[in-house]
Amino acid sequence: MELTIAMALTLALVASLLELTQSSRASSATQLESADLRQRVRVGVDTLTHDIMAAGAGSYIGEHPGPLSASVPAVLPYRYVVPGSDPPGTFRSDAITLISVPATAAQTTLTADMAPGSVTMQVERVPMCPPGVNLCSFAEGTAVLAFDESGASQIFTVGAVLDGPSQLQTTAAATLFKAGTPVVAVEVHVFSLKTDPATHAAQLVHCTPTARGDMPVLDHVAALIFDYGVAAAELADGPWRPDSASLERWDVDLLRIRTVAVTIRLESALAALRGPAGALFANGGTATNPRVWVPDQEVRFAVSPRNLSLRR
Amino acid sequence: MTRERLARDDGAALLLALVALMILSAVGAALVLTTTSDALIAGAFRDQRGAVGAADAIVARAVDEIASVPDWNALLAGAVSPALADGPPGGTRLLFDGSSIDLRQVVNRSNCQNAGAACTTADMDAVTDRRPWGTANPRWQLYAYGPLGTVLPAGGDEPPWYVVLMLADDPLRSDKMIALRAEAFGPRNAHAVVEVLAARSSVGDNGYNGEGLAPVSIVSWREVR
Repeated sequence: MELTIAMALTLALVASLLELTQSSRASSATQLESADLRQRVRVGVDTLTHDIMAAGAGSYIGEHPGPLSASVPAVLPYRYVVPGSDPPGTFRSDAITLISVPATAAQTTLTADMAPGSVTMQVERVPMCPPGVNLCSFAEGTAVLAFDESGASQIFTVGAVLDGPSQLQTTAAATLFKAGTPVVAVEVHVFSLKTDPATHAAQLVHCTPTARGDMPVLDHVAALIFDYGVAAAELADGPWRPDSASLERWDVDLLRIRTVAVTIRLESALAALRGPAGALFANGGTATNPRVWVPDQEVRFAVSPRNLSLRR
Repeated sequence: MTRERLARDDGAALLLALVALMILSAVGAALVLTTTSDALIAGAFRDQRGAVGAADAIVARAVDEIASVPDWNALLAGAVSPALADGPPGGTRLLFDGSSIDLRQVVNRSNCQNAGAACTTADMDAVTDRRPWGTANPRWQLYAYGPLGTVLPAGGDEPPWYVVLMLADDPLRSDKMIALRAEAFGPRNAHAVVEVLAARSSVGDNGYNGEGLAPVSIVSWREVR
């Protein structure tokens, strides 16, 4: 008798377990994917926030030490100085270049003019190098920025360090840089949206001048928008520095950028967890049952680069 | 064990109930684990971003404070008292979550990555990625330290941050520049470090729109990781 009751109870339990299994299967798939989606959001926010906040960190060398934005823009709305760069005057809402001087002793000045086309920088000895060494902190492959108060600027890659004569062999100069021009090691971070033409899947990618190509930061990015608080047209219509004919020209309105608002929309990596395209899904998937939908997550955050503030 | 005893079904229900209970518990535990770990990660992320904000806040406060000091060498000589100091410049401090920090260890870690014994000159002169200036590496010394809430306006929630601000000479040993290092300690081991190089604005310097600059300008602001 007891066994009969137990069997009946077991059947009822198994039936409810089967139902529970179905819902828990859906729940476990969606929960894990949702957690992954949120984690990707956090990675995106953290990576972008860290580099945007540091943009414009300047140099202590030269007559007027200060943030980069005192002389050149540190936030550019396009890909700059990396493979696949955009031409000057471009505005892209899905790309950003962030320039800053890291904690480095590789800061010096030109001691002789660097003519257009020249690949040799004659530079001042770095003051904190040990005795007998001139350019202790420069190395092959270092990205260096030369900039002057007229707005002329260029990012070079160091090909060789000639310590004895205190020279840097670099990529060719596009314009004339006069003696006294600061030359400092810089970090350049380029973030942009890259869409695979075959799969149409988009990634947030990161690139630097010395990297061989783009490195993925986030997969399955449905949208990426940078907003600078200044009308897009004003950031790409001049007036230009150092002049409108320069290959390295930039719009002076870029110096007005004080904040960067970022919108990232991420989608589930699995089409089986995405429903039809619409408000919840930028790119439709194959799921028809709403119980297994993992809607896109969109975040918008604004970062004020600390080095671009006029007053502190 | 007799055949008669084996034929009896006493206790079968209990066995089945226990098995079912185990299965249900496993499913429930997996769901709870997923949910709570995500909440913990989100909390840690929020605290970490908050720590950066706290470190930045004490930097902003200190920059205002040092702007009124005519000679920054006096600051480096320890001749100026900060507005924020919750006791002698050393010893253990209790944090809001019950953990503690030792101010001397905080300074030693900043100067030579060694919390234990005092840093030697060789330690502090060592060239590293974070301290690339060799003999001109900063010699951090305590300036301001205490709960962040004590320098904020009254009212509102008590911020759970303990902040430490250190000062050092700049790499060029200029009288017009000074280095600041702020550290914020918070709940669940949240910790952020911000290093700033500040300079006195030169007379006649103007901003982009022609306005006069603040007496102290930020040369560089970096979050150290």
